[in-house]
Amino acid sequence: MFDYNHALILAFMLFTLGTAGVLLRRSALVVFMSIELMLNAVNLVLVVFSRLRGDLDGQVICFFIMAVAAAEAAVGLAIIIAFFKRKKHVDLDRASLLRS
Amino acid sequence: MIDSWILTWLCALPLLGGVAIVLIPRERADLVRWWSLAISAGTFLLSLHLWFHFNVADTGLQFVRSHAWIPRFGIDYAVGVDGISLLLILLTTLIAPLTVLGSWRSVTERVHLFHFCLLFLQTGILGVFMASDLFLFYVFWEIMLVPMYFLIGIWGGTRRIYAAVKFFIFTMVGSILMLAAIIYLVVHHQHVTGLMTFELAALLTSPLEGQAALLACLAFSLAFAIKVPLFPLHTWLPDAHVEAPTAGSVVLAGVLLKMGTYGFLRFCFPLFPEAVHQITPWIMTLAVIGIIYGALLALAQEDIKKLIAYSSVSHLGFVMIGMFALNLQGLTGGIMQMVGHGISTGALFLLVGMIYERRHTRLISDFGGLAKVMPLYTLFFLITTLSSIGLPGLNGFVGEFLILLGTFQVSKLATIFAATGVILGAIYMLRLVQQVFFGTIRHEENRNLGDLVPREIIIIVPLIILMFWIGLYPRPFIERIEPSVNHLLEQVDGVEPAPTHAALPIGSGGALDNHAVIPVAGEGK
Amino acid sequence: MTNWNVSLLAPEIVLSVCALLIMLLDPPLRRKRLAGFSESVALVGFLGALFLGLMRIGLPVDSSFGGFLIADALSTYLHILFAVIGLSVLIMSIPWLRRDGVRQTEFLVLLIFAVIGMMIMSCSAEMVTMFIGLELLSLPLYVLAGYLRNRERTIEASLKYFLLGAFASALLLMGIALQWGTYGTLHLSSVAPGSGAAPLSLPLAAAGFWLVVVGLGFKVSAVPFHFWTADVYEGSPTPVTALMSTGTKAAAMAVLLRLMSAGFAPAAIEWMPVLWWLAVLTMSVGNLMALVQANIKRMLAFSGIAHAGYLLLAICAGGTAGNAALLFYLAGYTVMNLGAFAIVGLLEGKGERFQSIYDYSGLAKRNPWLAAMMTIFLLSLAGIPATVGFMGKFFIFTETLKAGHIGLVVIALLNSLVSVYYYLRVIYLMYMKDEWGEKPVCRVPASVGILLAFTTLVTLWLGVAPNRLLDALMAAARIF
Repeated sequence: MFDYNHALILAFMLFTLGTAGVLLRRSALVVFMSIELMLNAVNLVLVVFSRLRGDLDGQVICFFIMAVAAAEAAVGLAIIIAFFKRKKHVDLDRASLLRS
Repeated sequence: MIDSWILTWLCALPLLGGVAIVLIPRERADLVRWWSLAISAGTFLLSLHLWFHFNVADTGLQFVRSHAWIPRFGIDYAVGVDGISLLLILLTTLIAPLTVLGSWRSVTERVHLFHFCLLFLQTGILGVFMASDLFLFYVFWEIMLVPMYFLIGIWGGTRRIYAAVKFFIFTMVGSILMLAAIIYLVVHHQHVTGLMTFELAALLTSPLEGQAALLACLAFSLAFAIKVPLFPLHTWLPDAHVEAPTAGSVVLAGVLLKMGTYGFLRFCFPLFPEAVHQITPWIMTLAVIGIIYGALLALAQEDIKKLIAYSSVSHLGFVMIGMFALNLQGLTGGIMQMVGHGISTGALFLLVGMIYERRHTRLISDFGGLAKVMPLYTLFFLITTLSSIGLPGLNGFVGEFLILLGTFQVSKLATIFAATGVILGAIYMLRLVQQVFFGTIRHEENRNLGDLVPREIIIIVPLIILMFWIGLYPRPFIERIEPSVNHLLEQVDGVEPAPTHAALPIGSGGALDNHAVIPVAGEGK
Repeated sequence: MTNWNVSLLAPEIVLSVCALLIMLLDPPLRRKRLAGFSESVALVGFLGALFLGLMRIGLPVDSSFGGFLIADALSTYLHILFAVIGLSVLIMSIPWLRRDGVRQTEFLVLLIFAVIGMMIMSCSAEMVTMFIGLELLSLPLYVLAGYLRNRERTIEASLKYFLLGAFASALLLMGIALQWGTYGTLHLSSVAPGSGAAPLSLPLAAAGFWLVVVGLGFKVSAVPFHFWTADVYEGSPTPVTALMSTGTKAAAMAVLLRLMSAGFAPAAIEWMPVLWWLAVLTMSVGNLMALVQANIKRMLAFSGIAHAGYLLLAICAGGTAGNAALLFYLAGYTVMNLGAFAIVGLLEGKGERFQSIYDYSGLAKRNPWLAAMMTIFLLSLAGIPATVGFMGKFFIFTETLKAGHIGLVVIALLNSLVSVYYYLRVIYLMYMKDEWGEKPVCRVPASVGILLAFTTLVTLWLGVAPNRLLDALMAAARIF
């Protein structure tokens, strides 16, 4: 039998991992991947709850999130590439031109 | 009809005139000066109406005008004048044209902005003295900071920026807490009566009690004490006075400081009678310290302007002990001293400005023997000095005498110290006169100084006349003050400000009818 | 039963059509040298949206798309506000685009879409719709922030904004997912249906709620979620900064308002202490940090954070009157900030060289009118009477005190005291300092001049006569 708790715990682990990645890693690309991880965790939570409640709304929301994530990826990767073109690296710690 | 509109016009005229300066072409500085003079003189003439049509028998506010402004918060545009504010308003309108004349030659840069600030400042000060709605009062109280900040900061002396910012921030510190107290009062009133209003008279009907009253009273007092300034909150004053241009110093000393003492009378005393009694010993002590401290520091000053600035600290200390004596003589004397100080110190600053224009220095040691080259100037300065130290027959005496009389009934110790302050005052002022005007001419530059020109005589003469008038025949002034002071004392001394007893119009807006003495009641609406 | 009344989306539709028109027609027309086409279309779009928003005033509450969208007075008010913001930013950006020789088609399209996102956020009655609006607002802004992709600071700002924005979105989404999982509904007005007692008692629900608050906290730049603000504001092109500091903040604040005063009002006792601290931190950190800034945009960024704190105060105050105070302040904040940024944009010169506050020294002699208007905006931001900034603060503080938060009001007042200092410093530089290096006299384009005159007049007018707006906002403040 499918155990909802397990799935939820997996989702939260993914989410925590993603959050930790955002907060700890310094490469823009890795941070971006961590954010994607968080979004996937959200999707997992929604799907699990959708099944738990017998309500398909959750899965519909899931589609929305996937679409948004795709849009975010398009914009985000473009920005990262532009950044890389200009600076030849994507290290956030070295991106300290502002703040001066 | 004019009675109900006069205050509004009085307050609006300088502002409108100031805004109209924008229309004057950039290179026509002379036109700006004439325009500014015309506006301020017109305001003064308009304000004379108050003097002649003031009902001496009436203890409450007169010439009232009340309009709902922000009904949702119970805020009214409500103005009125009683005996306490009447003289201060007249003083303000009188000093304004004199400051314009006084800076005729000395201000040559950014004349447009200068005169805009002067006129704007006048509106702010007049608003403070006539507002009977706490919100309106606060608005004027704060808004007048802005032009003063510009006046000190742009046309001031070498340390002008420091002085301007210090002035602004000091005043803000006090007024911010006052705003909190005002809102608290109003919310309290709403809890008690279910009605939200900022009208002073209405707020009097639901007094705060105990701790809350004391805290609110302290918040108000802080704002006013900074403005007065009460020792040890006075440190902004010498800076502002010394750095400000002549016009700024005159307005500061002549009128602005009185906003603080006026605030005590108008708001602190009636709103928190019990708390005022509680803080009286403290205020008295600080005021006495201020008298002595200001006088001693004045003794040590080399800069004439600074000397006068510290003498202001001392004189305002007198006003404070007089007011906090909480009896008829003390309060009346306090108000007379406010007016007297405004006239004589205003005159002193104007006179210092005239000599500064000629010599570009204010150090006492740079002068000496001026009496020989500038006899007229010396005469005026001497009269003003004598009025400032309270010589009988001149205006300073009336206030000082009444204050000492009033204080004597309350605290002999304070009276003794205050009297010492009078003596010290005589010493430093006479020392100043002696060193500047008498003896031999030590500096060659001073030998060819020209005496006063007609413009300068026109500035000083009205003030000199007033000094003699108040000194010799103070009755018209005192009879205008006394009824209001009596009424104030009733509010402060135990008598519960019951609605039937209050002479101020109760309620926001339309409740003026229960007050038949006010000439415009009914027809103004 | 289900209402599909498309007319609720009329402003959004008009704007979308305009954006699509620009995208479709600009390339061919550009070859024919028909300059000014896209600007005009964008202008028409914003004016149309403004008109449609104004037309909706006074109409009864309506909802559409299965209750996902709501047209109440609040959303009408915000639609108008966003149309004004869009219009102002458009006016500001045109001289900027010309000056720096930047391609404008995409800029205008992205601007329009960002405003559409704000509008959708303001009329969404449900969290996923709100989220879509938020993304529609954020994605164009990421790009706009880095629009000058050859400029190092700009692209860096864009990257920071994107990463933190996406992170905030992820947190918000998790919050939404948990909310949905617990309650099975995402309607803002009934997030916690039937659980009047303690809606946040379930741990998952509480976690969801707080994640939503954090996600929105990023957008309103509440401390401690504010650290991106200054960098991004400084690096972005000035018109974009103006859009971020007014539009984004207003949209997120509106959602927060709907959330707190509708769906989660029953749980007020639980979130109030946290919001209390959030407000205190936001005000204090914003003001203290602003004290030490030498770049005018950074200073305005931190001052914007402080103002977000005042707005949070109003949420603490709650109630219809508190909400009205918040909405009033939002209007005031928008107007004075738009004005201030318009001046910053004018004075920074080509390549955004003059952004230090010291570049403002002697401005009163160079450009007396600009200096006078900047003074009014700064005084208004500082909360000096006779300006909308004072009125707004006064309303908020009064309502907060009425709600019993005396300590909060005193802290807020002390904060505005601190703020006076750094606003005054700019005024002091403009009026009391001589020029600092040679600077050209700045020519003000007529369009920006009109914008500045308008914002100045509104700043003063609302500071003297706030009645009509306040009364109108009382209707908008009743949130379902």
